[in-house]
Amino acid sequence: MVWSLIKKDLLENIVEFRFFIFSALIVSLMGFSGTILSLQYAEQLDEYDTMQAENRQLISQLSGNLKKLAQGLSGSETTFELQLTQLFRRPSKFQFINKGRDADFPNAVPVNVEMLGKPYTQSKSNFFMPRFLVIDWTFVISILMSFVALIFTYDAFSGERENGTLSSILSNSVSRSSLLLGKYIGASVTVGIPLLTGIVLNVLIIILSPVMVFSNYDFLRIFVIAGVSLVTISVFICIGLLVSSRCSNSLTSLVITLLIWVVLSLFLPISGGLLAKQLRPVPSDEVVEQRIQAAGRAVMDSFREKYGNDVELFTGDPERDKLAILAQKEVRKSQRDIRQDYEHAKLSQVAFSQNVVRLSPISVFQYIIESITNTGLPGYRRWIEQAKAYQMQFRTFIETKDAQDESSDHIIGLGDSYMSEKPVNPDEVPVLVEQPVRISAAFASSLTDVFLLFLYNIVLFVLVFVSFLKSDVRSV
Amino acid sequence: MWSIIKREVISNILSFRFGACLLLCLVLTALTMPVLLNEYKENLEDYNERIIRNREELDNVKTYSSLKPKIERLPEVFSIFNKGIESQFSKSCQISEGRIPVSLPEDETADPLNMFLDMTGSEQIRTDEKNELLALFPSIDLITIIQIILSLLCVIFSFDAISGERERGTLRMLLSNGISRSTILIGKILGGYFGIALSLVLTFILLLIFLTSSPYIKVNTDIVIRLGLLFVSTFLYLSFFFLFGLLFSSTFRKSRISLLLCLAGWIVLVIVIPNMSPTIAHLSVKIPSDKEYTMQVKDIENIYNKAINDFYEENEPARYVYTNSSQDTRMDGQISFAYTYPERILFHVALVNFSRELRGKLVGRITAIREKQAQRFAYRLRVANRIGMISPSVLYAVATSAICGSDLETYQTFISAARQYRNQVMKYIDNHDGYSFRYFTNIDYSRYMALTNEISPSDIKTLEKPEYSEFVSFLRDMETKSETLDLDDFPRFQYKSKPLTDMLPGVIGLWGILILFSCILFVGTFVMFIRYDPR
Repeated sequence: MVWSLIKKDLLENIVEFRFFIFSALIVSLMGFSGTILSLQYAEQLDEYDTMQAENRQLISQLSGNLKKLAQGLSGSETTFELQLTQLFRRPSKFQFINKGRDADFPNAVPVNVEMLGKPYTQSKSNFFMPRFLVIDWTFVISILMSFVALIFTYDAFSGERENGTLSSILSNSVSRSSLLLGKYIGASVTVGIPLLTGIVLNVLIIILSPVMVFSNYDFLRIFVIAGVSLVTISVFICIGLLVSSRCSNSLTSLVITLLIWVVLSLFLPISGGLLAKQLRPVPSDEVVEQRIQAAGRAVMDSFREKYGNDVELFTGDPERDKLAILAQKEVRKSQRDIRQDYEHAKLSQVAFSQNVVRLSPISVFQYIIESITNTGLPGYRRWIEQAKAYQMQFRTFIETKDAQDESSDHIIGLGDSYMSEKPVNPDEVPVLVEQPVRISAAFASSLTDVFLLFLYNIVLFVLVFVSFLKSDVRSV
Repeated sequence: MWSIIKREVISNILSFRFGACLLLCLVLTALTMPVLLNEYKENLEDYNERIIRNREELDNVKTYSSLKPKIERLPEVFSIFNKGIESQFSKSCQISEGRIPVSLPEDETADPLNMFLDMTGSEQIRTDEKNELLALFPSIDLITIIQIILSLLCVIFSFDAISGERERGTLRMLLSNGISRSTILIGKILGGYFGIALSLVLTFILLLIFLTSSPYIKVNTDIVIRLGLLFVSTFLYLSFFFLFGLLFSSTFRKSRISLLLCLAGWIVLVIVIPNMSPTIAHLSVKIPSDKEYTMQVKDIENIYNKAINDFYEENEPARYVYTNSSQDTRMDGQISFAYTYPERILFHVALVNFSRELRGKLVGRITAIREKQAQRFAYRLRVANRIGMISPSVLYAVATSAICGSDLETYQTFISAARQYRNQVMKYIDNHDGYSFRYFTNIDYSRYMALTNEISPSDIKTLEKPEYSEFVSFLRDMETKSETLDLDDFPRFQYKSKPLTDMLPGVIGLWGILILFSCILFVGTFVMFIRYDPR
């Protein structure tokens, strides 16, 4: 019974215009997106390789003098060109899945023996472009496909009710639950076909690109994401069916479903951000800048109080300058602490808003993608952690080399410092190798959100069931 | 005819759809306006604080070499409505001789052609504190809401205008009563337009109330005119989508089909095209990386620095140091003359004039390079906009960003005002004979020369003799009682935002295109409706 109902719905849907139009739309968008994003990825990878090569060259240049290498900057007096040793984040190969939420994160950070500098975005090539959504999987699936799913189901019951066919069907020995199941599966297949076709086309195009290298685990990730997309679509199908079962008029159910879509896709993310700004406020950049300056001054003042004005004098004698060097270090440390607090506050604001926004299945889907592909906020944080670990590694390296030099005073730091200036072999300098996230870890971190998505699905399906069971089938 | 229109209007207004949509409109406005007004307030306060800080800095200026006023860009009131690309523009611009302002969002405190070779300031790691994580929070503005949500609502209104009547059976009745098809169609259109206009009027009244109730905004004629222009733009935009739905409605027999195709079209026009055209522009307009331009600029800076270096080598007199300090140049641009020999003052004056001439030549070349870069970005933006103009959504966005002052032209106006101000500043310095010893010191020059002439060369290393006490106390006074420049008649920067008349032609042109599209839709609807089977 259910099977023939499904068949009926499928045929109805597929023969109609809407199936072709939307399928064409989705598949062509995915194809377009695959082409464009793989081109852009190739470009970004080129840029990344260039930056890495330049950085290595800089390190070789600086390796002639351990102190210069430690301080990580080179500049000459006639050219005033300041070059810093840096760490760059490799562009993620999963950009075709989630570029939109990844591109705004910093992908470069200066590094030296004392600290990591401020992370920044390497290529600012988006000057004067209006803000635009990147057409990647996240966009197509979470925003477009959810819309399409609603459009395919808003009149599932209300339309039949209006036409009078609902009462006809149920007056035969067709149980409500089988009708419901039929509608659900029919809609899932109708929406799932264009989606899966689009995904397959997209992946094919991506694989064709010479710079893309996928391991088996990567394919596993893609497969899992495709599965999760189907679950997300199912959530929206349930929403459409739910509204449809409660409305006697197709138009009303349409307006309501569209409203719901607007709330879930636009409203919730925005209000999450606003709420976070209110409840977890972060001081403005100007305020932080002033705090940093003030902290520096405060440290210098306290040193001056204790030790007199000598603290600012650099005489060239390591013994006498120890204090001054220490003062400078304390200044930088206090400023660094303020910056770190600021970063923490910003990140906790983001985390808070994300929790609020988890009410929307669209956002839950986006977070799952970010966890599995290691992009977006989790990817960024992981990279920063690796950068910090590298910085410690670099420091240890410098200290070890410095300890081997007996003529050095072993006062290591930025600015004026008295340490070994012997050359080192550039090949011995540690290099940051970005560890890809192990598949088990990636899946584990997305588990809560996947669970949440399934929960939404189950709850909504039950609601649809209950709602339809009790609804009135007459067309009046 | 009029009774038909009246019927349409009344049935529209009394429908559930209209009520729900109007409510949604007003609720969205009411919810977003306070947030946006708050953002504007913060920007304005920020701006005022920066102005105060700049004024304080000016008050402390002691020499003409450090007379580098910073000017601030006043936040546009209408960025509340349309953010456009306004957030990418620099908020401040530092005026100095070594740099001509260019319309690029670049580091506003860079001063490359600096006369003094010592690097003052030792912060080696960047202190750019801009919040990089800001992009995680999507920022809304009213125009985006109108673009997306209101256009969707308009389509919802009209997708069953004709096909719904047919399905209900009322179309047959109308036609069988001798009412012409054109009357029905015009009735529908005017009825719809009236509904749109009514909702817009109510919404804009609400907006006006919000604006007037904010203590930070002075509602003057400029604002009212801009609101009027926004009203017309929004009306044209929304009426396009009404006609869009109407076209589908009068082509298809079933409302369902009409709706679905309408929505597919809406997705393409409002969501796909506005987001694809920047991507296409990105790919097709290749812009050399920032590094290439920077390297060219650095080459010229190196020429400058090398010339200054050479000048030093050729002309720098031998130095006598009175104390142990090795600092010759202080942070505020003053040379500490306590520690040098009088001939050095003459050397520095010659250096000032030499560098001024050289700088004049080279700064033009640097600006040309940066201008080229700026032009490429502007070109790419134009391409993105032009490609997107097949979608009324993009037309609307471009028109409103011009009206709201968040487009590139407004920023360019600011930059050219900054350049004019720079010329004023340089003329001021010239008029006050600033390109002399006054460039790097504010001591009583003639007295200093008179005093040092009395010092015999052998005594220069130590000034302990009693006859030099006057000189020593003069030096001490110079260190402690350094006076600031008298800047009473210093030109202040007057910010004049772009006059409305400048952007009017462009906006009207865009309106024209929107109207053209609407006319095409109208003709199409008419043709389809003539053939429409009412049964």
